[in-house]
Amino acid sequence: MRAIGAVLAAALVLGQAGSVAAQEDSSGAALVERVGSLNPGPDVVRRVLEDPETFNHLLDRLAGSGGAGWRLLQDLHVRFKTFEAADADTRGLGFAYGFDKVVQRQAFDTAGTAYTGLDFHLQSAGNVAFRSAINPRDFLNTGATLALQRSRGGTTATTEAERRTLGQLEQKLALYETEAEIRASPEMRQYLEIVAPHLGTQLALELGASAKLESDQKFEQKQYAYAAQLGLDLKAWNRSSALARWNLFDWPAAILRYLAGTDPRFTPRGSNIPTIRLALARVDPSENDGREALGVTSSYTRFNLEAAYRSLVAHVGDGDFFLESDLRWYHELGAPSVIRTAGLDEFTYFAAALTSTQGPFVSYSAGRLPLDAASDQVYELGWKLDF
Amino acid sequence: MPKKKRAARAATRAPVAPPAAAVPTAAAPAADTTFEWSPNNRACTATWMALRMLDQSVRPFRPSGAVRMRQLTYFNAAASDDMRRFLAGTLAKQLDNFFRQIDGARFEDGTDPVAALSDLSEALLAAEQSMADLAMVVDQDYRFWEEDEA
Repeated sequence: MRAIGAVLAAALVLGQAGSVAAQEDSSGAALVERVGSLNPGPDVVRRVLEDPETFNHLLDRLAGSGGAGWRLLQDLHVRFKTFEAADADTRGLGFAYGFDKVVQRQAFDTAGTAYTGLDFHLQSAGNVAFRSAINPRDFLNTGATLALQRSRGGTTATTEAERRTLGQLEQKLALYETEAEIRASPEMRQYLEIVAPHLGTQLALELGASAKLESDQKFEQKQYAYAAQLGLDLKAWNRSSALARWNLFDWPAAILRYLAGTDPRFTPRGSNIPTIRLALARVDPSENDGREALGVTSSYTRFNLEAAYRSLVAHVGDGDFFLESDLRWYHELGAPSVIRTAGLDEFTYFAAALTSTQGPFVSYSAGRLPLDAASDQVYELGWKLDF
Repeated sequence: MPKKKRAARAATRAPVAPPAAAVPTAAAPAADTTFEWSPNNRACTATWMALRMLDQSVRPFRPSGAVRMRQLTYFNAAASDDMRRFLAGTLAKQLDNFFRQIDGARFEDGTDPVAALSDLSEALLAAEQSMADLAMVVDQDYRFWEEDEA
């Protein structure tokens, strides 16, 4: 136990040392020297073991960066975190995981800005608390999806003379040390004059079929969902376009950017038009306690909607502040009255956060996902560190 | 992952901007230790400027090498994994459009649209990967204008 604690304490020290440590000698000898000097007692070991960042740091080191490390860990994205029960008195360690691997991909049309292709991928995602009772979002899903993807538009081609000029301008602009210098530079003005007319609107569609197992983390409750899904992502990359200027969803963020001095004028962006995914699923509730208790165990049809939005609200100093939100709605079509009365025909989950690349964040989430026992409201105010 | 560019071509690439020694490079993580976040590398400047023009990150070039994917505008941590994968796919396609249609880049030998888009999507989905890591992927898959002249 003491040896494990020593290694974990060393990992924490290395993590706290941040990017500097990453460049320093982290060989075995150096590690042993650091651990030896720590001589961690039981309290230190406990604190280290309770800190999710300890495990995140170890995972990052195992997974490596940009190709090194364990292949599985690169595809399986795991982040340890602290869960807090609804009564706020109980906390515990757990992790969120996500695995998404494209097994096969084929393109049919790649001319110009067009792309039409077919993907088959495996995926799994969810939250797991080491004490399942304190998991406020106890919903895992695992399955496979076959998706037809199509993208149109986004840019028009520049001339060879323009390309040569752009290459030279990019390299000159890369030498400026501050954002103010870049914005005031003649090179940026010339760059925008050339590029802006070539930025257009991109429409991406995804039409897919999926089969997934939905469960709680103990797999005591589970159901199978077979869905047809449609994704819509419209991006007006040119800020002068009507779609960008009338992106009402971005108006509040545009006002904040203007007030913060990030944008010199009120400039809504079309690059953050909310993205929507819809699905119509046939659900087989093989082991769903809630439905079994009501005597309704037959398959049913469910409509899913997810809408996501994220936008920059201020660029202050070296930090960016973002407003992000996500809404998920699950609605059973033609649900029996007994299901409606029990509130099992509809699940709504909403999350919103103000995040910063500098560390501070505020987040709020409410509602529940299918198989969640109860609806929760979770507020978080914290600080995220980049190791 | 596509084959790596020939080291010889990279070594003989004529710098358009002032010598690299005049511009300190960012301490960005990258598995390929020979890859450098440098204003003399077109893949780096093109990646940086494309992400800037697509409203993903607004920073000067030098510190941008260390910006992580989760710090780009598209990366919505509140959304489901399905949603993030879809968003990454859209942005990957638009980056490909930007490199080929606006910057005039071509695919490296042995790379095709499917491979390039897969590489871009995977890189964008890796929350902790840096812009320098993304530029390394771009460098492996795309050949930019000045690189043809080297």
